[in-house]
Amino acid sequence: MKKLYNVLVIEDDSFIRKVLRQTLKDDFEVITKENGMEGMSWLEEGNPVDIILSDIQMPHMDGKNLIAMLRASPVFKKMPIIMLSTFADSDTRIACLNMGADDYIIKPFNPMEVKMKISTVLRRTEASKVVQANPD
Amino acid sequence: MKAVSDSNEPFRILYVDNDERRIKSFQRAFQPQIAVTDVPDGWSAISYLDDNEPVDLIVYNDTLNTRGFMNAFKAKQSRTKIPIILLTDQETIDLTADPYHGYVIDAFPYNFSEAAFQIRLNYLIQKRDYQRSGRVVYKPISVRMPIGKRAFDIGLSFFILLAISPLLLVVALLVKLDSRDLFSTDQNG
Repeated sequence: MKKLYNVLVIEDDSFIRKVLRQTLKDDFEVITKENGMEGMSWLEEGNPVDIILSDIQMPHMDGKNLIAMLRASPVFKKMPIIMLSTFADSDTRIACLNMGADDYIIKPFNPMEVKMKISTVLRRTEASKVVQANPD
Repeated sequence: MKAVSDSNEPFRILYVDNDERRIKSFQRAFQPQIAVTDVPDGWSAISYLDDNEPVDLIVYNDTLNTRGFMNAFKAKQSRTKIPIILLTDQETIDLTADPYHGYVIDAFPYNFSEAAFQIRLNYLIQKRDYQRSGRVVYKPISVRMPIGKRAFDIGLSFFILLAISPLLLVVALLVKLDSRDLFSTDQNG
């Protein structure tokens, strides 16, 4: 059965990609890409994506560049993105949120937490769409 | 046709617009990185693409019959790899729908921020090089430690630990004497 939401997972570690796919496949359509460049290309090709889950440290295009790219694009600037990283320091977390990330999950993660954070971010963005559609 | 792999070559843009001032300011803003060819409408753009080597990006003014241009553009398979950025006053644009799907990669308002466009442009240039270089896969490096170095490390640290062990003992004793319990916290709530 086709799932309601498309989650784009961008992560260079194939093991973590596998774990995330396993974790999310029951609730979401999962697409995995191995770096920001491939992920961004997927978006540009006009494939439907509702939320992005992205690593920070990756070859070719890292997570921070990906956020900057999304937020600079008039079409993708509202695309929800959750960062997933081993960087646990608050400086990196704050920098990412300040650049426009919607949430931040530290590795190693609890799979249930990832699932719930995706749901909460989606709930907020969907709610804001409804608000925009009906101004009163 | 020669295969060129020099990443310093300018990024070739076909700019389709009938507003001279906008073309000029676009060129001025991104000058050294890009080489702009401008044409005034969609049909000239199609014939330019037919007669010349492929460009790296098409920037298209949405008021110039975008749908007609897209249909003519899609008719030829070899062109479809060229990404298109629309200049438009549409508030929202759905790239997953026709006629944009798979061709138009982004849409900027006419009064776009140069900084934002610059970020987008840098990425497209990077992407061109990335695609040319082939998708390089990085393998994890494995390093074998020489036996001699390993033995030296273990041997030396063993003797140093042995040498300072009386000191460590004294410190441990002092800590023990100083505090009743080695570790205790009192937490409420």
